[in-house]
Amino acid sequence: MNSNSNKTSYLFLSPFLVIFFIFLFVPVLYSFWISLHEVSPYTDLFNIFGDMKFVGLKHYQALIHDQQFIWSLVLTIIYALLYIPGMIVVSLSLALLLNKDFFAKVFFRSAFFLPNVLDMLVVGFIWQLIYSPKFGLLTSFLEKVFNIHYFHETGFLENPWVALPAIAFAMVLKGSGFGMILFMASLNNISPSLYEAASIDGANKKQTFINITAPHLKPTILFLVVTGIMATLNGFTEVYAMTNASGGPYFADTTGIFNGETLGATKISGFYLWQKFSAGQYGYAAAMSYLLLLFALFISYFNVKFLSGESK
Amino acid sequence: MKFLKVFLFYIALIILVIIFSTPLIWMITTSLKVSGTGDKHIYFPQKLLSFYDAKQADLQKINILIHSNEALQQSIQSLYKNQSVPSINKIVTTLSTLTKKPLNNKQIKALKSKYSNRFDINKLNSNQFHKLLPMTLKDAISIEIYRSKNGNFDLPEDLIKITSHQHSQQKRFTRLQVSSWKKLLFSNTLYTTGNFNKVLFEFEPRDNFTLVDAFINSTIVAVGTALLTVIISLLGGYVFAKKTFYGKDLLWAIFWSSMLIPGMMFIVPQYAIISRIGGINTYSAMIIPHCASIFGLYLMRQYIEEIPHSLFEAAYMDGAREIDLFSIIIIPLTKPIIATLFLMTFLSQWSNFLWQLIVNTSDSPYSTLPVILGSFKGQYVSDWTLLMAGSSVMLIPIVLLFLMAQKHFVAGMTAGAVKE
Repeated sequence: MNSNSNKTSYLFLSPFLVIFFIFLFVPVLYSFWISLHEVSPYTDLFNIFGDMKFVGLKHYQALIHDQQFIWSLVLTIIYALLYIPGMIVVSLSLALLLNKDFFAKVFFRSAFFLPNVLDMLVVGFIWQLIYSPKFGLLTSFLEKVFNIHYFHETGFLENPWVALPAIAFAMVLKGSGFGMILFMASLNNISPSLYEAASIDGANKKQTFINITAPHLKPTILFLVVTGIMATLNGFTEVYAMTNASGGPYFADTTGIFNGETLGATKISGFYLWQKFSAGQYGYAAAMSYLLLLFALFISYFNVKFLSGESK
Repeated sequence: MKFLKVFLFYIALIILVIIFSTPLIWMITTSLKVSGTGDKHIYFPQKLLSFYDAKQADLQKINILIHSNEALQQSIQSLYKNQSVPSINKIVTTLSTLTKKPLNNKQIKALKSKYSNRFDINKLNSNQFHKLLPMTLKDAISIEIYRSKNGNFDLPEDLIKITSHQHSQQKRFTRLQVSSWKKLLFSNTLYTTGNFNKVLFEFEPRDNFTLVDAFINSTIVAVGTALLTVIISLLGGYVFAKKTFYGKDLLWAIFWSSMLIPGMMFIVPQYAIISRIGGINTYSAMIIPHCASIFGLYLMRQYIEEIPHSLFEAAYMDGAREIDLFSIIIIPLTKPIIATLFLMTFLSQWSNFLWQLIVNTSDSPYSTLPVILGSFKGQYVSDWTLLMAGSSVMLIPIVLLFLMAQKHFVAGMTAGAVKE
């Protein structure tokens, strides 16, 4: 019976296992293999990886000294710091706002959730139109209503100082619906008797929130932080769409920290990885993705430890 | 006091809804505007009322009585015959012959105020040009200079003259722009569905490849991935939920830990594997790598675990084979979660721009909508109306799907997080 069960189990599992093995498990190892090689730039398009030269740890060494890579990591951290807290605050506020019964609640919930299912590329295009200089919706709105003319010439996405926050803002509006749904579910799961007990003890609204609601929301916040980190590390499409695949306007590095190189204002690590990939530097890109993986695991580990440790 | 509170609450919610849906509203508004006006803040066509659209009844309102509508339409046609915008004097003489007596000052004034002086292109100054038509102030000024030199100015011919004279090194006004300006000046249409027609059927990003083909490709990829994912996850989820087998916990742990790897990391090796096995420019390259969904496996496992074991035993008693269990028990009982997983996978593959960009070369006949839209943007970056029409083609199916099956989306999104 048991061996028979093993057989059928693996038979049923085989499609999943085969695809998982080829496209998710092997790549992790194969990626390391590629990262130790150099792909010659002039190869047959359909057999790019047929002709590789072993170069050892050269790519890793080059990466450590690549100012653009370090800059992209800095930008990714800034992007995460703008996006994740913003998204959590907005989605929690929405959830608290909708956390009671009132007329047309379902309509409002869907309206906030809808942007979340829309295509990232297209939403990026639309935001580029809204942010564009002179005639952009937001630019003209600020000019006509608040008399702010600062963005007239550059718009938002061509100004290096506001380009990344502008992208983060668009992504917060797009992504908050997801967090809102999760927060609403976990708010519903809090037993009403806890609130009753608190009101009998004479606790005010603020105390109730800090002592009862907040601790119950911690797992959701942790989940949103982890998925948010994944989203920022995978951040590519939004930058591609909003900056015409250019990586945004440039900062001139006058401080000298980055060897005076010009630094793309929205060139986050995912985008930089794609740039190297599309330039045909596959070995370099593979090495970069390995370092990014380590970076991701490191951050996730501390997050889980920090946030879940505190709740105990 | 309580009423005020509720009122403010709803006002706040409505403002939030407007902010959240701005992109969607803006996309649809822009996609419906006359080609070339996407970058102009004109929303009300009355402002652009042109004599080209003058009706018998409209003229009657300003005391110009014309007995035959046909005669009016004929004379309008002859006024606009040369594809130029007639001057006010010409219109007044035409109307006088129609009414068989000269117009008095009051009538002329009313005519001017109703159709404004905008229908007379020679009366527009550069500022008005710039405001009304999608052109920069610099271009508008160059038109004014041209007119002061040559006296008169007819829209299509002279614009092309300006183009060839002053800016020979670059073609400033495209034929599309000129035709859209004509449209704006000749008639008062500001909104049109023509962009959709153009983007779907006329526009060819490459030879014999329209956006409809891209739409079909996208549908095949998204539906194919969703179907295969559901089947594979059902099989795997059942095994994980109801069977004990060698290495079960280890496999589960490996699956879960792979979730911690950012997806961006896979592009190089996955591309290498696809290119090695000759999968570039195929449907299967876009479909198969995404069929092993750990999230789907998890959803199915959780759901099937809740089906009571006695049902399976009863089926065994009746002599059912393992594979029969799916049609007898599992599929009928997991219908909601199947719908959820199908929709979630469909959605994620419909929007999977990066992977589809990578595995299609620039002349691939299997290019999907996002890939085509991405390249389209590069070519037509200034024509926002057309780009937004293309974007609508991509977004509207998703919006409709969401409105119809919202609860499945919500269920799918929460399922992943509840047990974390």
